[in-house]
Amino acid sequence: MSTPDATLDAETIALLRRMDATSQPGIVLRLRDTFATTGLALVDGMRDALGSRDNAAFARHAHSLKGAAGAIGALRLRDACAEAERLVPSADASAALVRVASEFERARGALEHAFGG
Amino acid sequence: MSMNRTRLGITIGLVEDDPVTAQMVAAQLSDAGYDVQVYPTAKAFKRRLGTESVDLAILDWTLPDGTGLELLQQMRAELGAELPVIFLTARESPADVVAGLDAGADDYIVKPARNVELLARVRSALRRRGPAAPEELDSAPFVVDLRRRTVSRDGADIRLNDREFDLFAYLLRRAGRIVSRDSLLSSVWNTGPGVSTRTVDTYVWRLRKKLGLTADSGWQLVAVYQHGYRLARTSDEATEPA
Repeated sequence: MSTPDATLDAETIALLRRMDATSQPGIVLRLRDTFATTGLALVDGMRDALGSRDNAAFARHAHSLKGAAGAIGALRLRDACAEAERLVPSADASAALVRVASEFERARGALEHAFGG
Repeated sequence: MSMNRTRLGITIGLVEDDPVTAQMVAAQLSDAGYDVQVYPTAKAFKRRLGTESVDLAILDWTLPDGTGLELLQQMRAELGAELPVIFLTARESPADVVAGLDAGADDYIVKPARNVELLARVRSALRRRGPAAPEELDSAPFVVDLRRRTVSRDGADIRLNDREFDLFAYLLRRAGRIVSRDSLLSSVWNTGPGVSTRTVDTYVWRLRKKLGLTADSGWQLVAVYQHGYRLARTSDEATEPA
């Protein structure tokens, strides 16, 4: 179980640890690194899309990041992305992007902490 | 590389362009014993279906070269309703769920799927479309006992090592179909395409020799140029182009 404000879903982290120790060695480090690279590119993509007023691209990147965050159990980031996807096009999209970027950094840090470097 | 676990001999095609989701879902399915092939585009998956089949497909909705819905509609039009298909998507509106199911999907899962739920739905889709995995493959004159991991020909036991057994069982389950060397490396050796495909060729040679896969046995294991191998009854080989 995870608390409502948890950065990472405890059940997902436990599953990853179990698979890493048994059938899928190396999966946690691969996922951690893929998430860091992919997530950063998507946040940058959202920022670029907002700057060029490309609402469709903004929503598409937010949707992709929402999926990645959900897969790895980054709950707060997933919620922030869902909100950003909902808010575009509106003046609030800019604030939503700030929250997405912040939650991405928080999730990345939490994964580093959970799985080490 | 994965540890040796009980493999189910069931191949799942996962069409997913997000690398995080693809890695996570593939790991969960592989952990449960399924062989998983990941395709980042609809085009890549259709190319695969042109040469080899899968036992179940899991489709994302939003793909770089179209939608999973369009892909499903094409598959149903060209391949019929036989292949079980599950949508795994972040699109959660009732209209999307209805559109996916109406297009012929067997199930619709909203991301993120809990591990136990994902696996239960995969089992359910496979169960609806076919009988449970057999304990024995009876392809006269060969009988493959999947529990005891033994092979006999006309009642006489033939000694195969673990890898040879897995390779023969994998090919026999896909008799008549072309199987690529990369698929064999992934499913039988649990390795990626970076490993030399000569390993596969060596094992194929040993299988042919040990099992006597010649016209006399009624089965032939033939190389298909630029694709891989096909195990087929001799009568099938005589009527189909290589």
